[in-house]
Amino acid sequence: MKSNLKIKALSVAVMGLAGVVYAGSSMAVCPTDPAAPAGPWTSKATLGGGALSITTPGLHTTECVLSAHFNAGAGGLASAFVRDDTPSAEPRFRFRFYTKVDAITPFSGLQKVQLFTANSAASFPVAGGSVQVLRASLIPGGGTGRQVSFVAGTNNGTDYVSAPFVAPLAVGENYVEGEVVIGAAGTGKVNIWVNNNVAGTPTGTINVDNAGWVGVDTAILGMADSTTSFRANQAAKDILFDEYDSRRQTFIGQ
Amino acid sequence: MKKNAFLLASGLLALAGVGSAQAQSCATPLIIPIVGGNHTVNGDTCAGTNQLGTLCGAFSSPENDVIYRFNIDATRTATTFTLSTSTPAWNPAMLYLAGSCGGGVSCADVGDNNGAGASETMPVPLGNGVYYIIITSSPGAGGCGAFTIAANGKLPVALQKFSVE
Repeated sequence: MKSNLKIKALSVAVMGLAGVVYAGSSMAVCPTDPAAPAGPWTSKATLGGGALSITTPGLHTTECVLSAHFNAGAGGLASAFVRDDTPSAEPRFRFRFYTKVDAITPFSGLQKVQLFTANSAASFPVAGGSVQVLRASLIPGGGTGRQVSFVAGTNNGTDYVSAPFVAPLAVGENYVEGEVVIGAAGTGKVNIWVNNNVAGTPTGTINVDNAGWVGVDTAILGMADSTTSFRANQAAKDILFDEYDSRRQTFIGQ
Repeated sequence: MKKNAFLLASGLLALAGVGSAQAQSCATPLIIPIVGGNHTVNGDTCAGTNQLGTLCGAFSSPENDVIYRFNIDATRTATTFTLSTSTPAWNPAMLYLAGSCGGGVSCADVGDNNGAGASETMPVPLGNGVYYIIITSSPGAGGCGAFTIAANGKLPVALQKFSVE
């Protein structure tokens, strides 16, 4: 395996253009579609009432941002996400993205929507198992009323998921980074940084036995797996995503 | 030498109108038979198992599912799948996958916009190829139930078995 190599840098819509200023004509540099061939992502899913668009300005001083929402009447399989199939059975996988969720209000009770998932190629266990090595979901709570819950796959012999690690979000832009280390108990873990740029001190760590998942093959960024209550209260309200980056080894940072 | 045995699904399916949901998976999916000119089948996710713990790569799905495989070619006449249930408390959902079957495979389309006891509809794919249609519970809804998945016309008749002796 090549170490310390970047797997993918996707400024959501403007791969390689982050930081470049196009004053007065920013939209001209934004692709019309986040997915290939126009955009950098492998594919996208806008099913069951989900919608994606590219708007300006971006987060973290970029030009463009990926805006996702569910339309009124969206169903349980509503999807508004992009997918990166660049990873290949990665035993160590780092990801980073920016998100802004201020439009999600009122937010309380059983509302939940998934924001990110890192998947393996095959499910574990084989029959009825999940491919989700790690998933991050927006849930109510914390000082601002919004926080992210991280749940990792683990071979516990029962439900095959870890206890959640929850981190509060700030108002405005948020920076979320994670590191998935595949391995048996004692080696397997997920480190999480939320608005925390200190590589040596993760915001939280989930220790797992995730050897059965082998590695990370796919990353999905955007909205999916929501509750009925979320869809009923958050129709047409955008969650913003930007500056996605993934690597094998090194801390990505802000 | 005997040369025979194109056993077409259409010849068998009338006998298999109520599918056996237990013996199915991505590797051994069920077939939707043609009944009265349309492809349709009854099933029950309560009699099945949970084969796909993830749907579309993005949805946790601990509920039972039933997996069918079908082909599309120029002989297709069906344009819509309708999923109905006789289990009022169950909120059914369906989706289809193009080309391959698995929990991480991207969904090509989904049908899950209505609530418990209500029917769902989904377009029949137009592109030629192999597809898998998954019947399960709406994510987070739990439960299981009896269902009918019906196309409003014909899907191409599948070659089920061929041998030359």
